Amino acid sequence: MTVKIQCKDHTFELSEDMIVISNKGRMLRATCPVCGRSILIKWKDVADLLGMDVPSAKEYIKSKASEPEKKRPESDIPEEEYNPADDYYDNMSYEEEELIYGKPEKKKDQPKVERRKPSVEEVKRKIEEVAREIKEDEIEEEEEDIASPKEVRIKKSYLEEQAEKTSFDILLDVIKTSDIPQTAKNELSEFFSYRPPRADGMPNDWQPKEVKDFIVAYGISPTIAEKIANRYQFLLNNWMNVRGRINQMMGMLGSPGSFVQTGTPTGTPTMPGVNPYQPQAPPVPQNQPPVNPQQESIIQNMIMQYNLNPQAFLAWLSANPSYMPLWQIAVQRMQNPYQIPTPPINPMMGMGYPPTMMMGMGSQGFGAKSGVSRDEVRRMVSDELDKLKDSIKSIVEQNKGNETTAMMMGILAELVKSRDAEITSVLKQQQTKEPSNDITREMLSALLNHTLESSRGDPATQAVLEELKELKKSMSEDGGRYRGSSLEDFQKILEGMKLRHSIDMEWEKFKHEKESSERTKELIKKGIDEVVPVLAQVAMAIGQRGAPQSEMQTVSGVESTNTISLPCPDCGTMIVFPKNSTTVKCPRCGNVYDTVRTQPKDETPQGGVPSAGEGAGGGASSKQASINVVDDKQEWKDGGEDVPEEYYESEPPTTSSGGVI
Amino acid sequence: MGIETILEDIGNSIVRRKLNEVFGDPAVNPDNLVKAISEGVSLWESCKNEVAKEAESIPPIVLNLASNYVDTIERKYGGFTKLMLEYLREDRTDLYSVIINTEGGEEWLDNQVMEILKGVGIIK
Repeated sequence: MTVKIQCKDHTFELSEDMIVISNKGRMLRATCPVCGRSILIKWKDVADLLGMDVPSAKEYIKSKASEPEKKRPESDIPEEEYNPADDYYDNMSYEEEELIYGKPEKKKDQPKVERRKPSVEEVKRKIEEVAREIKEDEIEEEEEDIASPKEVRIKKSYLEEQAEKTSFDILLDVIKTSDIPQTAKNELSEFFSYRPPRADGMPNDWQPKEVKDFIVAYGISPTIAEKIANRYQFLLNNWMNVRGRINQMMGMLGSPGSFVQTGTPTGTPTMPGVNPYQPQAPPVPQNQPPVNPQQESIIQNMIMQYNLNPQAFLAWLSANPSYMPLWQIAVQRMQNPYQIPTPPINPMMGMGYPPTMMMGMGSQGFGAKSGVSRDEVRRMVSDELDKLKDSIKSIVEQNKGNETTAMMMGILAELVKSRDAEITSVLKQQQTKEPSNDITREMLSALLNHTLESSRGDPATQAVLEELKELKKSMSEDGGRYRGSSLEDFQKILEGMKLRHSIDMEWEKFKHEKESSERTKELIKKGIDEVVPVLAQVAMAIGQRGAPQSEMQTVSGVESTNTISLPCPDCGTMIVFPKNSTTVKCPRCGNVYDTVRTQPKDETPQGGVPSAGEGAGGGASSKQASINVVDDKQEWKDGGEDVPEEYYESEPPTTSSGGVI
Repeated sequence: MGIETILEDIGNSIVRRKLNEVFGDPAVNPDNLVKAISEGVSLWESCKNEVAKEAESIPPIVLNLASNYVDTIERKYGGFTKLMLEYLREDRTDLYSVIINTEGGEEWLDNQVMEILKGVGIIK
């Protein structure tokens, strides 16, 4: 029997080999040979095809299902076209099919969802990929863990917290926890925060007494104010002690830290009313105080333990601050390693040593190295010497560029050279007195060599000694010019040189003074020459306008809507003044200037106020100076009249000092 | 350090900061200042709300202790106007120059300072 199956768009004839058994024989389907769509086949159609009734057909199909499932025929249509309704029908029983049979259009009405149906292989591959990625991630994490240790958040220690605190934080805490009303707390806290820093930029900390005064001034009873101030002082002292301890720790670790100058030393509580910020305690004494044998043994052990395990030792020390004074002595001794006395016996034995001393510090016996070795000290000394050499070099380099030094050297050299001839003549006179004396020459040579060696590097000495060398050379070359000179004679020569030098110095001084007096005379003359025409000009101005007029300076400025800005001719500060001002004062130097209008220099005056030079009348030697306000952008207006190319001119006869600019 | 000195330090720092805030406004320039002086503009009347708002940020304790502060300023500087001029001279030379070079400039500033201090409630 032929059975026709209706596909969505086609009708095809069903054959037995087209039947695909699924769901363990409970469902049957066939693939449309035209479009490849998988179509659910009804048991009735299968029964008709097989020529059986429905139950027999079921039996037959179930028996076939026990065999390996038939592979679906290949189709040229990709499997992407997936319809969820297919699944619905796939899972439908025969009875359900019967119920809905006759309503096939329902299937058509199902909304078609375009979803790609992944194949098993694809899913498998995907799962494998994901598994592989997870595995790779885990390996990477493991590698990272090996490379860098896990970040562990450690709670800040008490010392760290204290180190980060400021005195103002303490004050705020005290106010916050006080018994005053909340409003007062807020206002006082705000007020205390307003204090400006000191002139040197350091924080201007509040002192307990000041705090008390202001709280009382605020209106809080003196008792409460005192209570707050006392608590503040107590906490402040405590804080200072802790910081002092931190300072010591930092000092021990080689970095003085930032609290060195602010810390109150341990065990010296500040008295009430005393400024806790003033350094009260003397500095750590450089001379080691005397210690008893027990303390001595502790110190030795401290040094040893510190050398063995510094971190553990410092941790122990921070937990046992009472040993800090002894540790200070130990530090001093470590800085001077050759003063450390070697402990003859184990100091821990029977000395009442604290049991906590050795806890967690490890002990490797007393033969361990303590202090700094000789080589280290030698290296340190060598480093220091190198530094010293560098600094000397830099000073010499600096002095090279010093003009004064160079000038002095030049003068000295000239002086010594000019003295040569005179000394020669003196020596000639001495030459006849005694016979030749080779010893003197030898002594002179030795003296020169020694002095040259010892004074190497000093330019002044070098110059003098070079000159003396030349002297010596000439002495040996001229066949005995100095021959016959004894040591006394030589001393006389030197004294003669000194005398000559002082005379020359006096002469130079006199010359200089003479020059300066002549120069002063010239200046006075020049001044008179300059002042006379100015006075004439002033007299003329008085005669003409009743007001003095002298030098004027030209200064360019900027004009805006209501103001003019000009740099002060004296100090350069910008003077801003209204347009209608006739007298202006410099905000910086306080000089006062009169401003008048004038014409620009390169233009012919057209009825404006003449400049000073013109007013002085041609032959005057005073230079023209005027303050000009130049503004090319804005129209110049004054008194309603447009004066676009006019300028301001300053008349400075009325400076604050009464002089003339 | 005496209470007056501390109060003066604090007061001065507040006043100077406020002054610079106000004069930092671009509208406060030499041109406008000349105009305000010549027309006798009252700063307190024209910007009462703004000044009052500024004054609100001053800690009440300063206002409570203001009489002491005013006395100190009067004694040390010869008045608030002189102090203002000193600050202007250091911080805003251009405005200071306008005030000293404008006829009636210092009187105008004095009036403004007094009005504002009264308005804020620092002096009576």
